[in-house]
This record gives sequence, C-alpha cells and structure tokens, in this order.
Amino acid sequence: MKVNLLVFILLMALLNPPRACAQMPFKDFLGMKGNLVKHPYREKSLSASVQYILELRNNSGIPIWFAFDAQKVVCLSRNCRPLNLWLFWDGTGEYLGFQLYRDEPLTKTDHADFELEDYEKLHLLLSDSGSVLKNIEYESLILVPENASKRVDAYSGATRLSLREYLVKDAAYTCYTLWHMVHGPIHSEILKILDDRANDSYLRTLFDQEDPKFRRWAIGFVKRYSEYHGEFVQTIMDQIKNDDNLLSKQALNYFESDYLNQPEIQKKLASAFDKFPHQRQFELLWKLEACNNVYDETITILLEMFARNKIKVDLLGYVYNLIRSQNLNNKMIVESIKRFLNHENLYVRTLTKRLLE
Amino acid sequence: MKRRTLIKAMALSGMIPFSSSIAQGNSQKNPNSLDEPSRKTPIVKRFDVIVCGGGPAGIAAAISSARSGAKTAIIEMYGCLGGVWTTGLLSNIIDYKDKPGIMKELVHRLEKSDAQYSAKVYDAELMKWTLDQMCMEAGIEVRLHTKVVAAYKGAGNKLEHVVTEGFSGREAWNAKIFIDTTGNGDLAAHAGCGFDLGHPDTGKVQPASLMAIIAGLNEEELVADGLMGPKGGTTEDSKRKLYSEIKRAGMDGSYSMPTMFAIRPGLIAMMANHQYGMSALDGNQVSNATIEARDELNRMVNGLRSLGGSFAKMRIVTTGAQIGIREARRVHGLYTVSANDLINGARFDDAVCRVTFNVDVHSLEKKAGGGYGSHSVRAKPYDIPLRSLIAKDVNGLMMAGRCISGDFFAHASYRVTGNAVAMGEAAGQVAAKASLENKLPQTIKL
Repeated sequence: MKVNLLVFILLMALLNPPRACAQMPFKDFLGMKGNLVKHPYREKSLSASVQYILELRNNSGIPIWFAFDAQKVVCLSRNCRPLNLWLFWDGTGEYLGFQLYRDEPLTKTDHADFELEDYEKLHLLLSDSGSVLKNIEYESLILVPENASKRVDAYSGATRLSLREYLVKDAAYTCYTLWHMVHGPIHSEILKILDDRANDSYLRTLFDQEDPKFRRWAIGFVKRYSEYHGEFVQTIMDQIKNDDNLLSKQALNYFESDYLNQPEIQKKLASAFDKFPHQRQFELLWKLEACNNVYDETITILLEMFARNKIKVDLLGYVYNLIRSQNLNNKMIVESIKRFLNHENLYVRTLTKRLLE
Repeated sequence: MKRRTLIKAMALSGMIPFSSSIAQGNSQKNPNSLDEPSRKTPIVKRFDVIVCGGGPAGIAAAISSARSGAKTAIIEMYGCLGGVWTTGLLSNIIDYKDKPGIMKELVHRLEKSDAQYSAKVYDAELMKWTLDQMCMEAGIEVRLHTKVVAAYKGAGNKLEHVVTEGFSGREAWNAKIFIDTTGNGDLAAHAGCGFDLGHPDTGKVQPASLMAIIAGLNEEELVADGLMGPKGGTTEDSKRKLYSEIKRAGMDGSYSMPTMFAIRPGLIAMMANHQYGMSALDGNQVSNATIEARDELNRMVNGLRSLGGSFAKMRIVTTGAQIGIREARRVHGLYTVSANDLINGARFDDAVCRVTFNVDVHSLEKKAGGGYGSHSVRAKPYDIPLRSLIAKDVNGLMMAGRCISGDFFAHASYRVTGNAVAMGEAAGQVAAKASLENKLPQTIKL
C-alpha cells in the first residue's frame, strides 16, 4: 500500500516526532527520502493493537529500509515505563539501526538515561545476529535475589556475570527485548516480504545494483530456490571475481558439492579460475578436493593455467591434491605434469617428482 | 661417573666436539673465563635461504621461501615446529582473521584435521603435526633440537654463515639470505645488529607467561559460574571472577586477569601468571622464571581444587616446554614502526601485513595492577612495511615476527602470532627472490 510521503511525514511529525535525541550517533533514517509502503503486521506481545512494517523504496523499487515502531511496556523494579523507538533493517533484511522518539531516551534499571557509549554498545549487540542472547531464556539473564518475588518483571537483579560484556550495564532487559525484536518474528516477516517479492525481473535488478549486499541477498535467494539456478548460475559465477570479499566468498559458497560434482560447472569454474581472487582460488581447490570426482578436463585446464604462469606457485600443491589415480590414466594429464619436472622452480620440480612417484 | 669414563662415554656417543673442549680447555690463565681452542667447524650444507626459529613467523617464512623456488632450511631449538603455538601451548591465534595466504591455509588444515574447536582455538599437538606436513610438502629441510650460537659476516658486511649447536655438535651453515624468526632476535644479535629493548623510559619489558593445559573442568559449569564466557571463550568478567577465586584459594596471583578457554570438550587452556622483569636475554632469568611460573601454576591449581565445586577435579595435564616471552630485542631495521603509525593507521607502498590488534601492554610490574592496558595508544588498523623486516646494520638478514624493527608500543600490538605469519610469508618471498637473483632484500619489490 503506497502512501504519499509528505502526508506520512506530516503524520509522523504530529504523532511521533521523528527527531532523534541529541546524543544519538546514528542516522536520521526517518528523514530519508523515497517511496513509503506500509505492510500490515500484528505482533501480539506489543502494546499497539495495529502495527505496520514500513518500507522505504528508491525509484527502482529497491528497498532502502524497513522500519518498525517498537512500542513495548518494560517493567523493572515494579516501575513500568514504555520502551518506544524505531527499529530499522536494510533492504536485505539485515539490522540497520534504531532511532529514538524525541525526548524519550532509553533508560536503565536505576532510571538513568543511556549515555552515548551505551547506545553504541546497544547498536553493536543488536548488529550481532549470532549473539549469545539468541539461546538464552530471559530468566537466566539476571541473578534473582533470594527474597525477590518470582514474577520476573517485578525485581531488579544483577546481570549474570558471564553475560555482562554482551549487555549494556543495568539495561539487561532492554537489550534482551530489543535483540529479540530485531532478530525475531518481525525480522522473519521482513524476510518473507522480500522472498514473496522476488522473481526473475527483481533478481536481475538486484544483480545490477552497485551495493554488493543486494547481490549477496540474490545469491542467497537463488540458493534457496533452485528453479532460478539455470538462469543465474553464470551471473553468480561472475561474482566470484568481485573485489568485495563477502560477495566473492558468498558466490563461491553457492557452489556446494551437488553443483561442483557436475562436469559442466567444474569446467566453467576452472576456466574462470585465473580471474578469481587468490584466496578464492585456494578455497575452490579445497572444495574440489572434497568432491567425489574431479574431471580430467578440470585438471587439464588448471595445469595449463599453471604452465602459462596464470596461477601462483603456492596453489600447485592443492591442484596436485585433486589428481587421483584414475586421472593419471589420462596420458594428456601425465604429459602435462611431466613438463614441470624441468620447471625453473625447485619446489615445483620436487612436488612434481613426488606426485609422479 | 669418573671423568675418564665420562669422556669415553661422550666420545662413544659421538659428542667429540664437547669432549675435545673439556680435554683442551684452559681455565688456568683467568679463573673467570675459558679460552676455547680454535677449531674447524664443518659447513653442513649450503642453502639459498636459512630461517632461524621455527615459530609462527619462521614456518611461514620457510614455506613461502621454498615455494618461491629457494633451497630453504629452518632451524629450531626445540623438538617441534610452532614455537609459542606448540612448545609454548598458546592454543589461541590472535589477529589471524583477515590474514590471507599461509594463515588461511593453516586454518583450513587445522579445521580439516579436527585441530580446531572454535574459529581460532587449536589443539597444540595437532598443530605440530600440521606444521610438519606443510614444511615437508614444501620441501624444506627442517632441523630440530638445534640452536644458533654464532653468526659470521663476509664481504660487503653480508651475513654468510651461522653456527649451531645440537645433537650433531657444532655445525656451520651457509646461505645467501638469512631470516631471523627467533622471536628474541638472537640471530641478529649474534650478527652484530643494533636493537632496542623495553620501555623507552624505564627499559622494563613485558612479563612472560607460562601456559598450562587443564583437565577435569566442565565447560558448562565454568560458564554458569561466570569463570568462562559463552562458547568456551573468555570475557573481562570471567577473568575477574577467576582472579577472585584464585584469591579465595589463598593466593595473590601474579596476573590479575587470568584466562581459561576451552580447546575441546574436557580440555581447557589456562594463562594465569606473569613473570615480571624477566630478561629474555639472560638464561638464568628465563630458567628461574620458568620454574617460578610452574610453581605458581601448580600451587594455583591445587588451591582452586581445594575449593571444590567446579574445580574439584581440576588437574594440570602439562605446562609449556617454553615460557611465553612477550618481549625481547627489537632489531634495528630500515624502517621502525612507531606508535604514531598505529595512531594514524599508517599505509605503506611496501606493506606486508595489516595489523588490527590493539596495543596490549601487560603490566610491567605487579604494583601497576598486574593486568594489561594500551598505555593510552589507540591503534587504528595499520600496515607493517617490508623495510621494517630488513636489518639495518647487517646485509643479507631479514626479520619476521616480534623481533622486527618497531618501538615499544608498536611492538605491543604487532607482536601477536597472526601478524607473525603474514610477516614471515612476505619475508620468505623476498628472501627467496633476493637469493635466487643474488641481490639484497632491500632491492626486491614485492
């Protein structure tokens, strides 16, 4: 459902002024320009009866962010107060940041306002999708004083020692609650919105984006929905050459053993091998080593590349590790290897001699 | 055993150089010194590159040198490769994450051999084996149980020979290029290089620590008790808690931030002591520090065990064969990495390693708190230039690892082993190229 941006901003200004607290170090997400879309969403544990996941898109229809107005009542020390702030995820569903309501700083157990470093720490811990908070029950967050009421929200206890580094001091419950909002059902809903939207055309648009995170998301999607494999396999292979380490790595990791065991895939990857970053070359050889079969053609291509100095000498040992006894029945491979018995590099000569022995 | 019988036994066991010294040495002229007779020492082999010191920097230097086509040897004073990783039982590789090349290869092999319990915590025994395999595959001549005791220069102030002592007695080795990866800068000192040592104002050095491998502890119990962080790791709070437990056991621990982390289920590594003021250049001090550290660790574990609870079955499996030395010589190089380089996040055209570890100065004395700190130097990720790996005072000599050219604060950051591997790899490549082209390392471009 599209809403006029100006109307929305005016509405927000009246209801929830989107200006962040003065001490906040993060972006003014709500002030960004784009086309706003509302996705109805119902989260039972939250205070508001009707909620929306908001999405801001650019003119190409690519999401800039998703946002959720997190309103929740937090009770500590028998004193309840609302926890109000906006949470943001990027266009691939990764946590992006948060923005406070005007004049509503986050507070701690003793009602002291969060300091700048507390916000920074909160942001860092919310950014960690693998945080230890993931598998911890709320009850184990704090140490319960022996005389305390058994009602969890009704006491203030010391944060468990082993968890202190993962939480903002005196704000364990706030951290825990927000982490589970950022990485919980709302996040799942955003991922579902993205998945539902994906089709050939949308994926092509994503692969055209300069920001590598969209291409990473598209690779992940194609991996989950193999019906798109045929159309995008070459595009994904091309991403291995990319300078962005995460993108390049994710593109290579797309090729698991089921694909890598296919001769055509092996041949294509081997043919592009000299264009891959050095570290990816190692990783591809290690992946191939784990395959049931490395085809003669794959090995021949790699040996030829080495002969032409197109790949570095530190990879040769791992290329040789791919060669099994059945490959050595191929005379072309044996002849190709024998050339290296007279190589100028002592290491290459020694390694080759050992292989042929 | 009578003297004559002893000499006979030594002669039969092939220790002729030693027996001849005993037979002919003359301490009559000056009671405080011994005039050793001059002798001819056999040159056992000639290499393109010799790497002295088989620790993290050394193995990387030797592997990359050999792969680059240079006939390479590595000389190690203990009975295995790996240095502080293995004989020192460090069990934890710091600042390894973004290091490409040999570091990544090593991590891959450790994972493949089940030597790694988590991303960076490894089993020292499997590390030894893995390093042996990597060096054998590269065709390196590995000499264990052998210590460099002298170095001799030839024409052009160029290092030409090192002399070693080991099971074969005294031997001389020739190479075109040498790499000092001894950690303490022993080879460079023998060769006559200048060096710095300790804090610029006081000369004090960082303390040494002896690692212990512990059995009889339950990881989940330790986490529940706050003695270990989640996932077998360590946190500031878990260190403080362990220190308070050591105090409860009646000991004033020398290190106020002791650490325990899980290597694999049932096996814990512990770093819990500081030996203050120990000079790594003084054999007596190193010996005494090792004995004191082992004594402290045993008393500490006995005390903790007496507390019962999580500690009830705690036992030391083994302590390091070598004490972990944080700081020794910083050999003068063509460039000296400084605190300013860290603060500014320096970049160099001849960069060989990007360091991301902070300045980590362990208390120089117990009264300074017994923990660690950055001495107010806030480091940004910075580069180590190749020039700081090339000796200034002697030609044909490179360094890699913690003995490279840097100031006290920079050293406190780059000294960790992930960086040593990257430096070693670069030094090995340059040394190989220099040796094969009969040039000096400073003329080689990476």
